[in-house]
Amino acid sequence: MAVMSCSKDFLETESTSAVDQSIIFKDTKAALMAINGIHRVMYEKGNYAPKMGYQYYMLYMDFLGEDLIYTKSNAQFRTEADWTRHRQTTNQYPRHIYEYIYKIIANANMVIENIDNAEGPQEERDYVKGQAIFYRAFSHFCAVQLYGKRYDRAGNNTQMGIVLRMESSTDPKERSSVEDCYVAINEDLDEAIRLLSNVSFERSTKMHINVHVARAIKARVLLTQGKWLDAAEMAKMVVDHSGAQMDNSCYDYKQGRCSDATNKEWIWAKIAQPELETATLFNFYSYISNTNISYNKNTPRAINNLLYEKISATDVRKPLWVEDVTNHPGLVYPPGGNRYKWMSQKFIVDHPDNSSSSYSGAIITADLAFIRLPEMYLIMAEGYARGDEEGKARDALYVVAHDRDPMYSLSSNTGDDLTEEIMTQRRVELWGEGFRFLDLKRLDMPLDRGPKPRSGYNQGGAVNGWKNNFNPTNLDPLASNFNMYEEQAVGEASRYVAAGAKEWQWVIPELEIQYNPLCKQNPL
Amino acid sequence: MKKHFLFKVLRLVIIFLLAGLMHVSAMSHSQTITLHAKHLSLASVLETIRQQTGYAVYANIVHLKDTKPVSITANNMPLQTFLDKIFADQPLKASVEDKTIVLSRKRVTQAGTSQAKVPAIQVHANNLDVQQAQITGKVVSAETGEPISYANVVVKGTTKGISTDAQGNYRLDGVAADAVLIISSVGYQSLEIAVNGRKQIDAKLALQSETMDEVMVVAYGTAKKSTYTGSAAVIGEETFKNRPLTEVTQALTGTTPGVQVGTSNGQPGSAPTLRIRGIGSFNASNDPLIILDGMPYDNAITSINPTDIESITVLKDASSAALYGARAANGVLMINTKRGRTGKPTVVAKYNFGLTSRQSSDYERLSDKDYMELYWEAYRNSTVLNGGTLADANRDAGAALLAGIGYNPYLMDAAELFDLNGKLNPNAINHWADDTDWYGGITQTGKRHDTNVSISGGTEKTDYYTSLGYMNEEGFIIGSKFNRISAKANANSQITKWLKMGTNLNTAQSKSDGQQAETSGAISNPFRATRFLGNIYPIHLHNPATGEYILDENGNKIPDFGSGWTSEDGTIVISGRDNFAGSNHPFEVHDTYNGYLRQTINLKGYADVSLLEGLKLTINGGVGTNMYRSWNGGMIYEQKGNAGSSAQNSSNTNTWTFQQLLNYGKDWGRHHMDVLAGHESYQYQYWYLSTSMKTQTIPGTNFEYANFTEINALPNSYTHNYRVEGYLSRVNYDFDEKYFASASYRRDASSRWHKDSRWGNFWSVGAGWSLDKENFMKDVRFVNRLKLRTAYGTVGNDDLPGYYPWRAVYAPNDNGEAGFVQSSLGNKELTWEVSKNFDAAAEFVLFDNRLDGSVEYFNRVSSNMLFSVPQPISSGIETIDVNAGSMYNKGVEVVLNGNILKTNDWSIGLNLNTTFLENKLTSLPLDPYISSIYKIEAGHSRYDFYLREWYGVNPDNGFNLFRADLEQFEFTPDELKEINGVMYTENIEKSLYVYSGTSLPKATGGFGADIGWKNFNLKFSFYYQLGGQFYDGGYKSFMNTSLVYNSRHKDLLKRWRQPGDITDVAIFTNGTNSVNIDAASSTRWLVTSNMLELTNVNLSYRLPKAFLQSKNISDAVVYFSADNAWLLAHRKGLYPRRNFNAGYISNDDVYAPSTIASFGLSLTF
Repeated sequence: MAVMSCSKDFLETESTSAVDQSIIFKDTKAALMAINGIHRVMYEKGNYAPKMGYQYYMLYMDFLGEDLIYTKSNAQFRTEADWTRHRQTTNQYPRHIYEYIYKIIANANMVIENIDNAEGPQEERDYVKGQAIFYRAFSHFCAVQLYGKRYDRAGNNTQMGIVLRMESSTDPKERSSVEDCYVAINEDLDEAIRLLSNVSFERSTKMHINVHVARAIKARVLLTQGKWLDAAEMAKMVVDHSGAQMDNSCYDYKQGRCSDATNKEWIWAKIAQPELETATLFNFYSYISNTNISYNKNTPRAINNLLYEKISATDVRKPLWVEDVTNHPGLVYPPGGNRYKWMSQKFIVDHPDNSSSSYSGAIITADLAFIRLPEMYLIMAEGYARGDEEGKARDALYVVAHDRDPMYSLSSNTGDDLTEEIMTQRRVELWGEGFRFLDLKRLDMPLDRGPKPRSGYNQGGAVNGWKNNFNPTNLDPLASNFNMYEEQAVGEASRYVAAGAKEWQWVIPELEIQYNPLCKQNPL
Repeated sequence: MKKHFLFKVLRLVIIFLLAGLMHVSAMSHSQTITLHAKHLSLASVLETIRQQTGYAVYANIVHLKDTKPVSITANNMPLQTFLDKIFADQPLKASVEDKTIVLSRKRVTQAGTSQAKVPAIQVHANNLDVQQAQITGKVVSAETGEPISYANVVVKGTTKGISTDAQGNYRLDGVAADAVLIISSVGYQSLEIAVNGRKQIDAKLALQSETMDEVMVVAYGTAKKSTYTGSAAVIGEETFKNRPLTEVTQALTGTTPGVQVGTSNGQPGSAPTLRIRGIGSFNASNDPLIILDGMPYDNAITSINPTDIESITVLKDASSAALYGARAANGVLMINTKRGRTGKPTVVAKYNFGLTSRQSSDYERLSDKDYMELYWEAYRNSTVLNGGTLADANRDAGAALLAGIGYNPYLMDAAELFDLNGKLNPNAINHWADDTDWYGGITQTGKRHDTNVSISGGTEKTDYYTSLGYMNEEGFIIGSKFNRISAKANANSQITKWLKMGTNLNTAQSKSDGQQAETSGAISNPFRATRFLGNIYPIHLHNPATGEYILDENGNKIPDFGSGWTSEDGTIVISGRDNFAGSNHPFEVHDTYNGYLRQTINLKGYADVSLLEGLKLTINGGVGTNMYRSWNGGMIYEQKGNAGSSAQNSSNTNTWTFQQLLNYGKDWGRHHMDVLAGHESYQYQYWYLSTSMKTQTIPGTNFEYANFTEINALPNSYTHNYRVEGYLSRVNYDFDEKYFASASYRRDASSRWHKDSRWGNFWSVGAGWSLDKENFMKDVRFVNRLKLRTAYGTVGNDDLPGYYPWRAVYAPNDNGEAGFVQSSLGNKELTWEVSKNFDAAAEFVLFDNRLDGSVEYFNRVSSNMLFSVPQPISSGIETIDVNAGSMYNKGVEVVLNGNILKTNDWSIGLNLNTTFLENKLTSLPLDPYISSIYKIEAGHSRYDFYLREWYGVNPDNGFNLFRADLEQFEFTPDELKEINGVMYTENIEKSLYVYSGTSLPKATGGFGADIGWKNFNLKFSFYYQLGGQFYDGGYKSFMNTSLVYNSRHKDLLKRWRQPGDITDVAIFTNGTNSVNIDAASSTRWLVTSNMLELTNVNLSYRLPKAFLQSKNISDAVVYFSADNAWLLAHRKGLYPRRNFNAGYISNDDVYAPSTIASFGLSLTF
């Protein structure tokens, strides 16, 4: 019988939009692309906004804190801010955090297991493997801070941590103890630092991991473990060797310098790829900047007024938040947007002065800092202060505080006052950058968003709402602007959360428990 | 030698009736017969004659088919007398010549003796003259009396023949007086007439009957329905030809048992989901294979003009579909387009004008005043729940509400507007009440025009059909439209005795405009915005002090985008709204730039080569191409502050199919056999390109890139390649059309699998039995036809979402530099999913053809299912594709058609069909697990709801109560409430999940009627489904509390208000407590999916023939027809057929289905 098209390879088809796994691990050049892929996972768009990797993680850490205020109760992220969403086992949004973290770990494991056989110079192999191991550590660290109880520096950290994935596997696996998690994280970071120390060439962008990034994260880990002096010393390594410098031009917000990786302070950052990141609502700045997006229009983010009051008048950071929104010169907000007292100007990505035609929603993305140098000084300050080396602590603090406020003089505080001063600087400096919830948790502090409404005072919402009246009368001087929304309160349940309450632990997504029966849930 | 033998066998028409000739008995023969017979078959009687007389008996086998059983008492009756008696009321006569009895067809008298199963034949016999050599006559249609041109008149057993002329007349010379004429014409039943010496023979040909002996288009050929062993439903043109259909699958709704059709959305040019006999696959596709004129069709169904379609064949079981083995697991939909018929050219012109509107009303929402009072209460309640005093809350609620809304249509301040109990001032007037119909602002009555012209005809050797169609439909949303220009050309020619060739071209250009965004949650979704904007928000700017419209310098109203507005002199300030700020869809919908252009060409060419008598080689080649370009862009609106954007995407789908088929047919005795062997290869190639730019230079409607300055997203392109190859074979056998059997085998390979797992074998066997042909049924008078059939077989499915599922791959994940990320682990063992189908049916025609129908049982077992097994999230891999698990769909299909009444003026037909379906998982690779709102567990259906068990509302505080999951969670005493011994909780995270019914209806079907009176005809058909559940997410979003100032459902008037209230609707509040109030995914939102829908009603009038003849028109029909005319469901706003499988998310902010009411005219020249 006549038979056509039966050539041997008729049925051999290959994807034109993906490559075979074997090609990826053939040599170090290709394997480096697998690391680039991981960099992208850090901010990759998911199926529904705001699923966007570490960017969502960063925002979430501030939603759960008291320093970043949502000026309207009906805003996006309300259920995050009122502490209900991260306690829902079936909700897809907190699940995304769990998903992107383990996606990075799985990709890192693939690299770690296959890179040794890839062709190429040893230095490139170290560069690839060092970054992979770093990512595994960083991701485990991000996870254990959420799902496990806090690391107690006193020891006996046998409480459930997370599922440690140290090899490629889809097998069920139980959660390791918090102690074991931190052991693994530290071992990985040490190995990453060792491998990346062997690398002599410069990374191509600040998105890549070099030894300083690894050390900076190691400093964070040690601080979280309460290993005060170790943390301070590790942060000092970064300060001394990374080449980063303090650069208060980063607060030249009108030029968008808070979202510009060319700033000398930045150590690790997402570098914006405007032609790749084209979807609105899948970007950090879609929820916190002046981009022309409804969430930013309706609900500008504000600083907690009680924290704002602690900032000195001469501090370059003070104008980042605006108390008098009617008279503030050059207030930047989206066209048609609301203005609220103490609204933020920190993350300006699209300024009218830049170009009149582009201030129109065309700019969606901008660079985003993951690690900045001042954090390292502040880790030094906190570590030394809590580790009873107050002199070193004051010196480290001075670098940051003086850079921001020329009138600042070396602190004379001691003891709790000194740590309080350092923590205040930390809250102001790192506002909106994803630290507050983690700081409260590691320090075993309560969440306190200000006192309850008191009778006889105006809460700023009901009667003369701030939407039409920027300066309500008869405000309670003790109250924070939390719960002072224009019409409705977010709720009493999240106004105050006692230290150590079960709510500090995120619940494990139900799907993990279903498909990994060895994984136990946190108390609901 | 062999060849010679074949010819001999095949040409043998007269056969030895009785094989018993071989064993002639020794008894002496006589010229008389003795026989006592009661209902003895004629054949047996003839055998008796042969035995008793020794005479040979010759007959045409065909003649014996419709003979009657014989009852006779004969004692030594002379042979001739005996023969006269037994043939008295047979359609045959017998003559005795030289010890041989020859049987031949009787000429039929004008009275038309009883021949129930042979359609009307009337022959006028004049002037009997044995010597006559020339015969003339006229051939006309038995139905219309119109002459049939090009009908063939052939002298049987010779090559002598001629065609009738345009008036149906013929003249044939030199015809023997005892000759038999065969008169035939395409589309009519052929007739044999014995000349019997006449010189004028007129014939009336009956149309080919469409009841039992219908010839159906089936896999790789045609089959007689009477001897078909498979389960196939044929939907003829009659079912849909006068309906305002844009695509044909809508016509299957409620008319075809076993086939479920989803409601397509209202966007003109959209197509519904189809499911044949349930859900066979878990993760692979459940869509049926579409075959257009014998070739796999992977283009849009909307590119096929329904007017060009002659019939649709739905192949439902393995016996009918197995020959398409590879991709037929979900059934096959064969679309058979029209072809010309022998005869003079026929021109059919049709025009249909319709109006589109929304089929069903939306959820009922609150009036503006109720809305105000409700939100007042929400504010009050949340203040109290958050620790405020009731007095403070009552005092402040009004002002807070007005501040929050930002608009005040009542022009009263809060103190005046509300009393302290939240009652609205009875004198309050909504000053822009006439300007708040947002949904009305985007809707219209759409117009639909459908024009078609076809020309067809043919000669004995060549036939042709060609058509042109133009359809333009506006949806009921402003700006949405779809138009299609389609053309078809089909020509077939018998070039030589052994070669037939033809081509078939279907081509269409479709254009869609005003595609509406249905993205859930998006502000750009016009349905969402216009449904949810409360009716206190005006569409246009109004002066907040006076309530009057604000007009521009030209005196026009100004749309309110909700982003705030200040008059130039600063005296009028409008603050704007928070929900849907920056959008005004009633304004924007006029400028929606979102559509596509699709150009499809489907070309088929074939050659039939007769190699030997009965042996035919067919070569089919098909090419399909779909060029598709889509665009969408954002306008610059001053009010929105957009920069403008434009995206243009393009794709090109190319498919080709090549088939080589060898058919062999053979008759011997009463045995008949067809054998088919073939090879088929198929390629699918899909190329895609996307581009987009932003920042428009000159604002306006120029969306071409020259008018943009920045790249928005990097261009991307890819090509998908998919190929299958298969070898196929089939044997059909029947004995006397009484017993029949078929078997098929196909071996297929797919490019989706690794080379070691690539080939799959699929087969089927089937058997049938026409009981009505048995002697013992002859007495059962009320049975006209009765056929039993059964089949078993396997079919395959490889239709996973990706085209390379076996490969472990990395996907691009660029980060400014090239990057890749793990995308699939791959699985080299991955192979065909197999569906094993069993089918058994009884088909019947009863009570003098007054009732026909069928009862059919099917059991469709999917095994080795393509399963994307979910992995622990912590593995970093979402799913791994494996072959695992099994599931069945079994059920019963019942079809009943009754011809209740048939008189000269009246005809009434009723029809009813029902499919009972049960879907059940029998084994799973992961068991159990929860998937969205379903639990996946063996012993349950694929779509069994697994939801929190909602009890109701706690009369004490208005919170929802759920059954407490006491086993899994620890409760503090204040978390529990005991009611009738059962523990309930308000903490939704600790509630008990329970199975809560299935989304799959237990029974679906349709019923309808066809009523004729004189020239009028009224047809209607209903669809119904019963026994399923529906998760009413649309209702939920109108009942929940998380989006303030959106419009709300009327049911909230029944909300809990104070302790002691007994109600199903929780307290209306906001804030943290909303998690409880919204009741998450619980049984709170589950309702029945029972529904009844009038899918079509059609009233037509056929113009009188007498009137038409003078105008050279042979037929003219005017009609009114309405599609999706009426719907009854549990709750207004619900249309459960849209997503009948999942029973979920069908009603959220989407383009609701539309009703089309139309008038039409159809003319035939």
